[in-house]
Amino acid sequence: MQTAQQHSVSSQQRVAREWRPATAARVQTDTVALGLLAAFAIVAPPFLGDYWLKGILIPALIFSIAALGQNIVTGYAGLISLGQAAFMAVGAFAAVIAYGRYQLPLPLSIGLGGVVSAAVGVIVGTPSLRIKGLYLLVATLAAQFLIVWLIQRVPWIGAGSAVTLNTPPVYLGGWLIDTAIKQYYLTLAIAALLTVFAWNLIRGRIGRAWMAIRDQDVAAAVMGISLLKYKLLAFMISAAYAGIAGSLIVFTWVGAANIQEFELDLSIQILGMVIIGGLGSILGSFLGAAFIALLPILISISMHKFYGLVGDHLVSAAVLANAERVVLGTLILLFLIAEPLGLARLWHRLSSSIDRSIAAYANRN
Amino acid sequence: MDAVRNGNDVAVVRDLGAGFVAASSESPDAGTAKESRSACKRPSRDRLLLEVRDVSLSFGGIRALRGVGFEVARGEIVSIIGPNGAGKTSIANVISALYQPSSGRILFDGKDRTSATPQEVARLGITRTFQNLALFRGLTVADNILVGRHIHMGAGLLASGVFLGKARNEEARHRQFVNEILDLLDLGDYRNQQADTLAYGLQKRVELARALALEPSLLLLDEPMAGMNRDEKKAMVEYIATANADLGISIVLIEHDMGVVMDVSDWVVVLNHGEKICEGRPEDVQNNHAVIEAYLGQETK
Amino acid sequence: MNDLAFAVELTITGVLIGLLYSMIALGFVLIFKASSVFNFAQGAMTLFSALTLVGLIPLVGFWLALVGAVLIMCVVALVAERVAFRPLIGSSPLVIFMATIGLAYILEGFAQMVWGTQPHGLKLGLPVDPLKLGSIFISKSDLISAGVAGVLVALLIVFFQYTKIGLGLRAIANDQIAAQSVGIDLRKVWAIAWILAGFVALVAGMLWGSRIGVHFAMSLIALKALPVLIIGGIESIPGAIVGGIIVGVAEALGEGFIGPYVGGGVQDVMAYLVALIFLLIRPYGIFGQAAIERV
Repeated sequence: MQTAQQHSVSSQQRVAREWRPATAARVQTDTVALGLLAAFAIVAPPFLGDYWLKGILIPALIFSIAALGQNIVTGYAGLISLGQAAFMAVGAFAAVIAYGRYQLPLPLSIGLGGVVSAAVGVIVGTPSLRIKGLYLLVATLAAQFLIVWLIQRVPWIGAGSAVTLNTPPVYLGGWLIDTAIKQYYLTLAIAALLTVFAWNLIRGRIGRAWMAIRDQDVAAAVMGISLLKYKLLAFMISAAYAGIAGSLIVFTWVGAANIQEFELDLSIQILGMVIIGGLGSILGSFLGAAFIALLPILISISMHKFYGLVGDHLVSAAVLANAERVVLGTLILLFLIAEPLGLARLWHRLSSSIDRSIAAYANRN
Repeated sequence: MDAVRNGNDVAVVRDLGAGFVAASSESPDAGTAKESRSACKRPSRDRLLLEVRDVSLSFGGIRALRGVGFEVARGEIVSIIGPNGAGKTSIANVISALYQPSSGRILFDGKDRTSATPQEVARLGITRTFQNLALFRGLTVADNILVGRHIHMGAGLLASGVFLGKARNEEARHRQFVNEILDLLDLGDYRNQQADTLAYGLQKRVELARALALEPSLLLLDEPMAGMNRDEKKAMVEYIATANADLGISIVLIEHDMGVVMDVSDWVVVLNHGEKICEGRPEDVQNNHAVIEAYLGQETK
Repeated sequence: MNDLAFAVELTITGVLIGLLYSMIALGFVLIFKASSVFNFAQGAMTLFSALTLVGLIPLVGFWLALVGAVLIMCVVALVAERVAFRPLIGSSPLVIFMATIGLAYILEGFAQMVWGTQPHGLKLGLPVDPLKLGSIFISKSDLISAGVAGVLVALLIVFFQYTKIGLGLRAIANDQIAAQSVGIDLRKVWAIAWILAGFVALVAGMLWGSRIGVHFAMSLIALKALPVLIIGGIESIPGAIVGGIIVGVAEALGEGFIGPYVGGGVQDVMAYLVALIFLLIRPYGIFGQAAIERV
């Protein structure tokens, strides 16, 4: 038994131990801030330029969806996966082929992206009953390489090491989605639906089963939870989210599915988003994705400032890209060591301390 | 009880919930329940719930169990005792299907379930607690116990994700059920605390609550009182007695505290070196030569 | 007959390249045995060390550059162990694994910021003409590389089996607490394991660098040590060797016979394909032992 229990230690046991939503204490600030954020997400975009929408908000939302999926499989079910980018690729190509080649309606094409990716997710997750931890990790890593490799080589898809499929003009019903602001609202609507769906799953029977498996798989099994079923379900939902995110890359962001965007690096970045944002936190998925969307801009500005100070005004793209790697790597390390619950935890701390000061102030009067 | 186990039927669950409340109010003094039970004789053998027949278990060349067999009748508390390494936890693992026996059979309710999986065994109505704490650390006390309701809930993926109507009602109903268990085991105050922030003794009690939430007909308790002080032990004995007498749950108890074992058991099975060396009524086992030998042998080691 | 000769040639090449994989895989095994850390950054360490070496060569010449690279790798290994892993002692293996991903990003980014992203050649003065045995051609440089890798592998085995520190490593792998209680200094042993892994990374970086040049893809090649270990069994030294050779041969044969029909690139995924097959039929590898616990 001892060994079984040690093996079942999941990525966020440490994490989970420290964090509990202190419901009563944080209601106010938290609710107000999230309300403001939602209001901003709905009201502000028409006043923001295309640079903001296409450069930050749309990708941040799309990656939030992929990160939500990663969080379901890693943060809640405790299974490590390094294949999220490949699932996104499956969704992107399935959706663009459905929409472009077979002229399926847009919602159906996006849904199909999710469904096909979910099916692949189930196949990839199948070894997870017999193997766990690092063995499972290598299985997902293998899936990442094999899926990308296959997409590059199946002639039916398009074949080529840089296979790229463009989407025809995107219509939702009779409505042409052609401007950044329309693309943004479509992305936002889908992200909102998927977030509510994930939130409901997490707080109900299925979410509890995932967390039970994560925290103590043996005890979960003797409570009648089928480990295979719920692990596969986690992989399936996670891949479906990735697939939908991939199809949105095509329809509301880039306008094409390009296999070179879905390499291992992206999988690592999505895992990084979840670590930095907060494992086992829905809010964390958004914070992490937003943070990593903003990171290149922050780095670019500060690097230019720095080089400006030393008198050299040109910073090459390669240097910036590598600076990003260093910063992202450092943040992953820092958060794992200092705050394994990520930005979401930092936010909860801040909001409850504000609540406490408000309460203290109210008591004084 | 059987009807309840199979269904998610609203009315039945509600009835059972009421039963729990009644049970808790009826038995403020669990001592009475215990006395009435120890007074009654070993129930007749045709009401067998669990039959362990000639079970052997070996891994990596080590034979953990050799031809162990015993029976548990409905309503009984059967204790398994023996020195460390006697195979007590191994037999618990075999009964809960965490291990497959190398040979031998296990019958539950007269039906062979030797090759069932742990979750199938749970659905049949067998669950257990663990020697080492095995709570879901990241979940609250209430959510831990709600996991015990898992097999009685049916909301699928879409219903759970949309969380309207049926799934919402189901969740509310089972939360109510959990509240009753919390009250029954005096855990109400800790409802929303994260499980691993609780004191050790309380965590053990939450594990019992989680197992009871599954409404098992057979409950395996693997050293439920290990590491507890006298008061905690006393309370735990009362909870176990309540589960047995008022909820009608048969119990297999693995325990080191001989006082407790002699007090609560209807029947005692003694293991040593993976073999059953004797079984019988508590008072008979207490005086059995082989048992004394096994324990003395251990003490002189 | 022609096919057979081709197959033999590919197999020999595969074995030679396989030994290079084995060597990288041993770098993983070293750290895994000492600290149960599955070091995703081993590939990044390989890239980092090779880039450091080729970056230093034009400045100070080969031998001084080599000494410099060795010293820098020692420093990197020690800093990584102290800054990144000591604070995480007691965390779950997956948390520590994720930390090694962070470390990999730091090393890759830093090395490429300092030395640039363009590919560098690395000339070790290995002969370029092939060795001809009947109708079979074998690359002399592959032969020499494999020889070096083989010697290093042998040295590591001797180190593991017969030196005091090696014994310490194995003791820790068995039982950390027991090892500590008999006076084995965990930190010292960890530091040495990381330094050795850094050294293995440097040798691997040199040998691979002379084959394919020094650039980012090296990191991905070194990552193939993960499937190698799955095939051989994570904690097993013979497993790393056999696994490496299986992967090398499978890649060479796959590329030679299947490659032409699917547009090449078979060697990029062959290791993972074989590993997946093993995960499905023998998840704990050739030399690994399945955990007794079933659940």
